[in-house]
Amino acid sequence: MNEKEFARYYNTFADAIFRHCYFRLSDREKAKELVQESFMRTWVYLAEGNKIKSLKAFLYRVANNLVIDELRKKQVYSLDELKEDKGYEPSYEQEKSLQNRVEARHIIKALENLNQPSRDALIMRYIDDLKPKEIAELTGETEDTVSVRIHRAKKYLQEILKNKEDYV
Amino acid sequence: MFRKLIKGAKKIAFEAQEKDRIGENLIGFIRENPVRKSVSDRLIQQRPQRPPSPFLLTPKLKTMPLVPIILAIALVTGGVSAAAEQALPGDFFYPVKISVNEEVRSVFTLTPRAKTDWEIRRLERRFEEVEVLATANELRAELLPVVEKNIKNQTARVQSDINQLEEINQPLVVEVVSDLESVLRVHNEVIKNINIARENETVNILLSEIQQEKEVVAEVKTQIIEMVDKLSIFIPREEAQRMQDSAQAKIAEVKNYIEQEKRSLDAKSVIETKKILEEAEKLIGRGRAEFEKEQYPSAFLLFQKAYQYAKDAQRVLIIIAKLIPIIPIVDIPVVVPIDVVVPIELVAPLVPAEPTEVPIMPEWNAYRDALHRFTVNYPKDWISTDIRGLRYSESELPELLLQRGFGPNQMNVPVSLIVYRGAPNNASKFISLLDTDIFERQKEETILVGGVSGIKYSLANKATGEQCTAVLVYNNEKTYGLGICPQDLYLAEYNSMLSTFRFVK
Repeated sequence: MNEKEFARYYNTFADAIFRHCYFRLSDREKAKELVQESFMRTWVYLAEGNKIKSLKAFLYRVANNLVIDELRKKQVYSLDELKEDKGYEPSYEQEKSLQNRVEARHIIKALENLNQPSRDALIMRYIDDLKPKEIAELTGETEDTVSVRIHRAKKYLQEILKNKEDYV
Repeated sequence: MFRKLIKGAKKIAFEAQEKDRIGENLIGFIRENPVRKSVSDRLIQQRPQRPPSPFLLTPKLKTMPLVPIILAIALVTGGVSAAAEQALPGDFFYPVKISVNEEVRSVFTLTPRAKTDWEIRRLERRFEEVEVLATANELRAELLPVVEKNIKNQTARVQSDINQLEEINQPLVVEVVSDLESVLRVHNEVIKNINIARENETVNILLSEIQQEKEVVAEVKTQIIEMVDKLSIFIPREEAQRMQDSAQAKIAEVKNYIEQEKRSLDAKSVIETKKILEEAEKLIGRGRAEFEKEQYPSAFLLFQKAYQYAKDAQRVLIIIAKLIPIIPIVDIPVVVPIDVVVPIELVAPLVPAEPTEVPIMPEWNAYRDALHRFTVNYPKDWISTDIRGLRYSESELPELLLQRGFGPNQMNVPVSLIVYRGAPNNASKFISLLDTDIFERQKEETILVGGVSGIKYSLANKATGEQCTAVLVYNNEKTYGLGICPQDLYLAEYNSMLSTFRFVK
């Protein structure tokens, strides 16, 4: 793979990897860092002459590992701090993205009602659009476990949302 | 509701600038970590081989043509694209630089503004190539079609991008057109000055082309600015504020650059640049006054001008920093936007004198200028270069640049000798040492230099406190200036030089 192809992959997947990191960490700045790190690590792997069958799957695996590392580090912090969107800086020129950021906060708030494994599964299935099999490969669990977890998490979240007018 | 939530979540993405920035970082990273050979290739390489003879390498290299050697080095280190980055028109890797490296970077730019900025940068890169070639006097006639085509095509690309921007955002167009105009103006000036001493005809042809492009763009810029001035509706308060922030940030960036690079930058260029920055700050002050009066279009234009001043200053400093390592004698004039130097009056009348005898200082080198009829001696380990016309193109008279050491250790000695046509109060306009904005004149005394009475100024830099000395002498209807700044080193040498200065027939 050459630079140009890699640049195209970056343009295609950067947003998806960003969402993957952002919703799991609730930290915009950290998510940006991890996107960069994921692509750099992927490039290093390629630059060393290794072959990658599916770049998308590989990127998710790298990003997932980085997110897990980050979550481990974060366990020492309080939940309140986790809820804060640290990367939030109002910007006059980006009204549209401001709306996105407000919306993102609502989504994060809703997702925080779930425990971490359920939340991760839900994000990977519905936001990252990964199949249960792909999620199972990433998390090292069986496909059945993942499917059951997604199903339960979805049901639980739907019930929460029903009771909250915020998200109507 | 769940679907709505997921739909909303999928809309969350990078902001375009964030994506661009990470893309830029990645490109830099990729360049530093190019793809190595495949695993199978490396396995082949790892096969046991006969130990090489210590005598093998040298004769082999001698018989190999240059291009395969460069190619081999670049491929072995994996840096084809890195090698191409330094390529110049006519080089083997030049097409890689233009068609691969730069195109890859284009892919990473997503916003129309970022794309236009990159296209302007590409145009600068074409000019920088010309400057390197012109400095080394290597811009041969056969390269002219390539260089001309590149500059023309690139200018057209920028203009096409600007046309697209015009539909999106008017104030942005003012910024990018000004930037384009600045690139053409600054580089035209730089190339012109490089070529004065070299008089390369190919460069002259190219300059006339650049001049035409510059005039067209300047005209477009004037039209756009007039339009913005008339149609205040296009400049909201936020745009004016943003422009002020950008201008202040750019000034701070240039100041920071000067601070970090001051050791490697030419002292006079730094002084000139600081003057430009002061002017830029004044423009911001005027812009603020307009802003307070809610005159946002005029405030915007003043802030934009301030930004452009700072950008011009930065551009020139970067060019100087790039060219000096190639040929150390090169000295580029800073394009001062307006005349900010106040002429000064001399305190004593100056008397023309008859030539006197040349003193004998066998241990020193002698510099003799037949045109301006003077000689001066300087220490044996210094190198003198007559950089006629390279500085202050208005005067077209020589300045003697003194340096010490060779190669990378070469450094400018802070002693300069300048000759200007006319009386000192005309010449002083060009002598930045005497600029009362920067230097406080602490003492003035009449001294004899080469048998002629002149004025010796003791000066202190208001900002840094550095002590400097400048002597002006009027003779042969010209003003001769000999200065040292700062004077903490080489003051003894400077005084001895003064004592050896003589007018000759």
